[in-house]
Amino acid sequence: MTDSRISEATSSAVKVMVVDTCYKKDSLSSDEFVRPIVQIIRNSGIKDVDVKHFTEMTDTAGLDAYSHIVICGNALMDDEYLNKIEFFRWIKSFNGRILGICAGMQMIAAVFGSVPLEHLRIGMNSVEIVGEDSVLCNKSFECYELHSKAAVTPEDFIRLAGMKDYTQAFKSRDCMIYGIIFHPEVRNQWIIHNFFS
Amino acid sequence: MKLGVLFSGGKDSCYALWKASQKEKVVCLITIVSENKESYMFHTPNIHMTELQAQAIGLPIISMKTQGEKEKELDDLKNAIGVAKELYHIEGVVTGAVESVYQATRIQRICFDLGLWCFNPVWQKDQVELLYELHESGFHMIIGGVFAYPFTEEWLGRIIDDKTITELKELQKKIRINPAGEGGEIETLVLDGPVFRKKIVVKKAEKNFDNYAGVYEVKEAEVTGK
Repeated sequence: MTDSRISEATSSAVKVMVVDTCYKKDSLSSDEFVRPIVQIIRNSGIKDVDVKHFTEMTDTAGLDAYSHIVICGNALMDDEYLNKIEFFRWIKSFNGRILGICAGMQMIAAVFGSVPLEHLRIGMNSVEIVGEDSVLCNKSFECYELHSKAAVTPEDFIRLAGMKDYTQAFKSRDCMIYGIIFHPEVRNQWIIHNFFS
Repeated sequence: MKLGVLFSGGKDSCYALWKASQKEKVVCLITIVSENKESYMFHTPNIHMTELQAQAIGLPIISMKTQGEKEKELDDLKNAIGVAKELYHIEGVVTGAVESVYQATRIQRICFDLGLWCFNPVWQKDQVELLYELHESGFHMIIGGVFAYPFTEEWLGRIIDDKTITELKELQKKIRINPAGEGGEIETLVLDGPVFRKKIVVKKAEKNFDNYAGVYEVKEAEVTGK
């Protein structure tokens, strides 16, 4: 785990796009799922943070200016994003690092060919670490989960946490793309800091 | 989307109501009156004021009692939300949960079981920022209860303004109290604000205080024009 602020050299080199996956732009859900993530990123010392709704992610040329993208989660009843995979195609061509949270993780998996599973989880649960990694560290911990669907680890990705058929975290083999099913803004802000460090 | 707001009359639920009103259609308030003063789920000081607040805000209120037994009180909450769904056709519920995973988890589960959306617009919001935003947006809030050291009787009934927020911030630095009372150190009562069509004037109140815990109990109040 790291300090809550990342180094000045790192923060000045980082430009972040935060993607809102909620049912509409500037929704009531964005206060719950997007604002806390932006606040954590800014509090870590990164100043250059932009937010876009997923339906606005059509001009992918502009994404080259960003070093990191965080795709946020959304409400339990929200499944608007699931039928709009075309707005997430940029995930495959983006050259920087990507962190997908909950719905964000599901969309990463979907773009790489996986179909989400029906899987309801609400509340604090254990994260069972099964693979070594610098972002999640190597110890199991408690996390806040809020989802009715879970992502399946795509082929060529490495499963980092989970139990039986349920994947809680994965990463791409080049460590550029991460997906976590739980919400790190609750009690696990260190994961977001590690992602940027 | 038609929404019902879980309403305690304190600053967090008033803020949640305000945010929800800006983005969706709030059609009713839902209040649980708990007989258990130690409830983890429901705010208790001045909960009787919610009827008057609803009148001042201009929204109907569904107010239901619970004995406040742990977990059983959730059935009472589920019933109240079910009534709101039936009477006002709500499609979702808004809460003022800020940091309590205990509260948020239980409400999320109830909403999911009833096929309703759940919104938590204050979730994880910086506590000091929240107090300033409320004050600067025109919410008239007072301290309705204190439940921890070093709060004295003088804090009861005090208006939450810049001076009060500064003092709460100092206490946060010195003894790590949560400045917005999310740890249960203080409870608030909102008398006016941007979502209120009329305001509430307290005519008579009583302070009951002992050993760093007390309530500013409103005995008489009225709704008046702004």
